[in-house]
Amino acid sequence: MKSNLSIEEIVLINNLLYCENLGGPKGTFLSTSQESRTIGDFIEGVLDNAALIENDKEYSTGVTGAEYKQIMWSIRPNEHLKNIIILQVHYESDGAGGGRSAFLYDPQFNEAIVAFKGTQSDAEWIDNVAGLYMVPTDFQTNALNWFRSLDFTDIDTITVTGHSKGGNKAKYITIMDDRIDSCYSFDGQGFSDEFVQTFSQEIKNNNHKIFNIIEESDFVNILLNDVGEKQFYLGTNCGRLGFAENHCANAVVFYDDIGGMSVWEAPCQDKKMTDLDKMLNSFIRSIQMSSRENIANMLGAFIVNAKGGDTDKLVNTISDQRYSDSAAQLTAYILKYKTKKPEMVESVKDIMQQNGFNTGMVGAINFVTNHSLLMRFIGKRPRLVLFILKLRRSPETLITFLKKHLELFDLLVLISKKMIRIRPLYNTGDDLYY
Amino acid sequence: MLTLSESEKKILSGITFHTEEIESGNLCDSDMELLTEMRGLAEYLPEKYPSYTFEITGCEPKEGTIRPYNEWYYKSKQIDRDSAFIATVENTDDALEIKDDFYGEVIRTPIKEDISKLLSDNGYPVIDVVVSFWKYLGKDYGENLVPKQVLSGEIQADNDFKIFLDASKLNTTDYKSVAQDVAELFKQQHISGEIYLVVLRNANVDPARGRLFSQSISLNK
Repeated sequence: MKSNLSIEEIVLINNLLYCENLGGPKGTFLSTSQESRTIGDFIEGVLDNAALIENDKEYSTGVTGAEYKQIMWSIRPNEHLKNIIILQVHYESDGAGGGRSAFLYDPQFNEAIVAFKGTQSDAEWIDNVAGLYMVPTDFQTNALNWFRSLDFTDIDTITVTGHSKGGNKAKYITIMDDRIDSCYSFDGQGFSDEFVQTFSQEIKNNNHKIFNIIEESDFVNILLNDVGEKQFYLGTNCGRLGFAENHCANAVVFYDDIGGMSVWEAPCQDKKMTDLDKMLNSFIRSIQMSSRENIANMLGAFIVNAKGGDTDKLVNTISDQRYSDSAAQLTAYILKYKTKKPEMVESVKDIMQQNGFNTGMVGAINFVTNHSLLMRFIGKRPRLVLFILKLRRSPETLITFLKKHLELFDLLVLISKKMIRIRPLYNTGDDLYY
Repeated sequence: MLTLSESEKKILSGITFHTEEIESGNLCDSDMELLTEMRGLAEYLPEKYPSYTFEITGCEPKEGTIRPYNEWYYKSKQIDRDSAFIATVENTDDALEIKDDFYGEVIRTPIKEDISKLLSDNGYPVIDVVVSFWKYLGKDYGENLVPKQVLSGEIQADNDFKIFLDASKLNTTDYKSVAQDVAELFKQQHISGEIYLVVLRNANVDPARGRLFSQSISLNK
């Protein structure tokens, strides 16, 4: 049986999971002390302390006190949502990176709702990228174990949901446990080729239950192969965090003049994300399973730093000895990919610029593409390269950027060397058919 | 080079990307800070609760969040509970400020018994009482914590009492006034915190499906 929750209600529940310390400890939704209370009790408790919530302060990444108040007010008139009971709050005890989730009960429709929060810290990316080389990941296994410990006796409908990593967990347990009726994954990443091949029968059995709610410019859902139906939603594009804000759980929430909340279907995914999705899939398929862990760690570290919009940190990450080989492999792939699909590189540039990165870095990418032969031979002598660039009247922004980041030259040489061996588009970037 | 235990390696590997360095014990500064916190917590817990043994199982670091502290997950061999306990660790001026939620386990049973007795003595048909605390407390509040000091609010733990009553044995259906009366009774006893009263159809029903009424009342207003 399909869930009795609307898409708006699903989105609101996923937003509640992130409520932390709104006006004090009672403003944390995923606290064991909330068990037995209703969502309405939680909302009223938070709004009782509304004066203690600072409007401009971020209470979870990208979401301010004022925005949380809007969320609370929009739930207030919704009796159905308010009557849902918080049966159990779970703090994961076996996964090193933690994880929180809730077991909810809708008395009106005798429906159980199991909701997984996406862990917010940078550490979540360790498990996110572990999906590239592990089948299944520790977090997925823990989520399934906890789900199977719950009592669903006499329940009419079982629904699972979650945002980000939580969305991935929701999809995973839907694939693995036939009892689930509906799954709503909100900006959750997909699964590796190896996962899809290993569990193809389970996916065939259950993928019709999975519905992906995706903000049109979200960058997490594009990781790996999607499973289930997809619907893109318009993003509010608030802009404070730049591109990273597209992944916030309230990024699809619009309000009318009286505080009513709605979500709006988008005609399609942001083209930049579609391009990036295909390129990433194609790149990952070009890497052997035995090398994937290094690539995954580099990707995770890269994304964590890219979210912050700090150019220096990003340069440090990709030139770091631990990641430089993998970073060179990825960059070389992107640059060779450019020759076949130039629009993809434009998309990458757009995303970096929207996230506030120094455009000199984008210039450096172009430079390597155009001068890879030169870099292979004299790249180890940065001063000479800079001299030649000046003679050729290259853009001042590029020269200044490279002068500031001489540590990049080793990486640029490595990229130039790796570019020779790459065959872009040898591997398709389309999601795997199951 | 440091020597890390297998469990330390497992936890650090789950929260940083530096797998090889963790394996070799050649930790970077940020991982070193995490290890110092983990070891600090591993000393703090048994010192504070000597009758219990603990295992740290994970951490949700503050990086990428707006929290000023890391959240560490742990469990105790003596407590049969699926969910982890949480300790917060803040590194301020090179000192670790650690707070935890485990004190609740030490005082929960005596407080539950006191509350159940108070309600029963005053004629309320109690099905169950669930006691919890909203705050995390530091090293000063360990196994010697006095339940009465917590109940009265002398030690502020932000008490939370969930009280489940049997409607079939209540002599009124005006549950709002029952909630007010219970709150008044608690105030007379100088109990602080918040009560959450749930009236169930009878003692045999499921606490979620057999619910007739629920209400939160603060005892501090």
